[in-house]
Amino acid sequence: MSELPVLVEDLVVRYGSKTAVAGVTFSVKPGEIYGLLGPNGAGKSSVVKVLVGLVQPASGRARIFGRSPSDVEAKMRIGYVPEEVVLFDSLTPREYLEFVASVRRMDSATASQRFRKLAEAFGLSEHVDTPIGALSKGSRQKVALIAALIHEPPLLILDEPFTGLDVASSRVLKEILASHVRRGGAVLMSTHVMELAEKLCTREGIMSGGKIVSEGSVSELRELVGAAGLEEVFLKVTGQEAWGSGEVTALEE
Amino acid sequence: MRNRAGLRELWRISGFVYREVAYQLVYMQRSGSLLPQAEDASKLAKRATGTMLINKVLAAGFLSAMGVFTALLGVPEGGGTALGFAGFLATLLAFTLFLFLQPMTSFVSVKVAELLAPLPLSKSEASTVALLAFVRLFDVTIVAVAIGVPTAYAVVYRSPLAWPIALLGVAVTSVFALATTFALAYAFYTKVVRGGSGSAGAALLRTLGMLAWIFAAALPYPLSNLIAGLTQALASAEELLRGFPAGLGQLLYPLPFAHLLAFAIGQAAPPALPALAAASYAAAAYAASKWLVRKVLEVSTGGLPPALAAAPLALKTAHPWLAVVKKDLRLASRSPTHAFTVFAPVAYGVYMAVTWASEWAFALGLASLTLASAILLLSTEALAEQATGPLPLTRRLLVSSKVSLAAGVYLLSTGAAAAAAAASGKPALPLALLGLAYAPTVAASVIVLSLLAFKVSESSAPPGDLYSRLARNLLPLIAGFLLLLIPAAVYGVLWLLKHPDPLLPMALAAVVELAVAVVALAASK
Repeated sequence: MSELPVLVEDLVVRYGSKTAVAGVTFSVKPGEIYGLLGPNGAGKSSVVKVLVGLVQPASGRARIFGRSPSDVEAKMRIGYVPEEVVLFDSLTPREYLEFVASVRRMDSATASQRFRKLAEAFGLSEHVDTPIGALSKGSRQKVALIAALIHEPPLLILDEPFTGLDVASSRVLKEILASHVRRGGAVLMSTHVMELAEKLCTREGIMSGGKIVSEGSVSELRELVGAAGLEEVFLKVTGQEAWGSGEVTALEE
Repeated sequence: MRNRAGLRELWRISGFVYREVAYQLVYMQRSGSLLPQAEDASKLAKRATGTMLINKVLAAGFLSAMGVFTALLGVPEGGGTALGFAGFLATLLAFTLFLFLQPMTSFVSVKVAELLAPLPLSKSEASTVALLAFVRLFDVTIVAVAIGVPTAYAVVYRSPLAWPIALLGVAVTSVFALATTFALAYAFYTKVVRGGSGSAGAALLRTLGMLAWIFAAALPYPLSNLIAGLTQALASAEELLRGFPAGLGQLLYPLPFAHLLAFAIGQAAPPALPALAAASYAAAAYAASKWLVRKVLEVSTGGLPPALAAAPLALKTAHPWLAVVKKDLRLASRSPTHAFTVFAPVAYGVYMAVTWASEWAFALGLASLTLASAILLLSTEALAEQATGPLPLTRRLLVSSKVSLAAGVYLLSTGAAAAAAAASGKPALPLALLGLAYAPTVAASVIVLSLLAFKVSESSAPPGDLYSRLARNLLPLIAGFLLLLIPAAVYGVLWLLKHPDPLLPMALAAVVELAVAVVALAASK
């Protein structure tokens, strides 16, 4: 039996005395986009960081295709876009992507072909020789996306991937994700944007207070709480339903 | 309708821009993205402006004291009070370049327009804020010198006329210095930092540009006796040009101001030619100030030149080991902090070979500096930890790349030092032999330090800036430096025992160290 792209069991992450993730369990299957949703500080990014080997869990288990996230074989099969894109500002996108493609052991011909296609798709062609530090936030995000996609990995782990992208690039990314899962790839995507999650994700896990408080497809979640849309589901299961209206009224006054 | 902001309010707003410039200058280039996570960013920004203020006050004190010193004593070996003033002006020029080159580079790179965009300011208000923020970079220093030095000359020589003449000299020099500094900072940012194209030729040009910037930033260091040295040079130049028609020597900047001052304090006859030259320099300074204001506004409103046109979309991949080395060299060609890793050991090697303290001072110093550079090399990965941490880079591969580059730089430095020694008529062979015999231990210490640093690091990602987490990384640092001393100790003991050739056993000890370190590296993940 082939291993699951992502398997997380009873995961606990602590930063000093603060518990960021308190026993999370979920999995991502091939051919699905799993949306990790939740308010700020819910623990989404901590889960993602464990899965890419940036943070060590206090307890529990995280596996990428059956391997530890810090295993090189696991890292070879992941494409990752961090929430906060901090790249080498002094390198140009071309130089940075040459470094990434080399580390991923791609040959020049394949790397060039993928680079050309992705740079053109995201409208980055004119900026590939401008140092990253001089690029706009959106262009830096595109560089991080191309770095994650260049080796056509079977698993994409994307933390707020649409941040800073223009309309055309957002559309390109949506199409790339759809094509990726059609070909049997898997995506784990953390996002705040309910509309995106509702349209793109096969299943969602809604996090609050370091735990997954609800999980399922959009229709399952809607049925579960009797809500009309994912936003309403989100507000109900995270206990934020009543929050906001009073504050807005106060602002209007 | 919104009222126009007054100058006081604009000055206050310019403080925010200045704070960002100070923050970028003091922290960002040194520690990448690590510091904001480690401490409250606003505290760091406050500390950065504090550091900038201390620098400005110290510079003000130092330059004013130099000015007062020349007014009181002159520079006898340079030809008296008036020439001392010319020497002071030349010093002011060199020091301004040294002091403000880095802050101005930070100002150019900070994208003031983006900082001001969210604020409800009109275009002219935003321009004023940008100019005021620029003035904040040097305000205390230049104002102190412009008031203190002319006053000193007027009081010491009881000549009211000395005050405006000295002020004119200081003002013209300050404008020239600030315009030159800004031009260099602008060229550095646009051609080196933002210089595109990965071709070898472009990288070489970028590196030369960086060396010019580093040289300018370090200008006053070689001029230990600055005023006297510059005054001597000016006196020689005037002497040389005295025989030329129309007294060309008197026209050489900044001598006309010295001749005018000599007249003001009663040491010379009315100087028609220097007066004319000084007026010309003042006119040039006026044009330079207009250029400076225009360029500062251009930069502050997002007017940097467009990036170079992109070459065909292709990537040249390499073995991962070589890719890490290439990436580090590319960073070194654009960032002065990273350039230190390559240029500092080479410069040190050449300096030691020429000054020739001793072979051992050369070898131990160069080895220690290479180890310090290797620590910086290791920390570069942490600059983009979120992006590079998840890449399939093993510790073994990463450390192999770093040690290869560090050892390459060490051998290059030894070669450059031997060549410099030979060129200056000193025995190059013993120095080269000692350097080569020490090379294995340098590689061994870099390997051991790196592996231990990974071991004490809490994440699987590279360990980052070891100096900023000194308590945790004390053991790796001590171990690395101790390893450097073992072959030296072997040599020392054998020398005491009157061994005929202690170099060979020392080299053997170094090779054994390297072999053990390589085994440890091979056993790592």
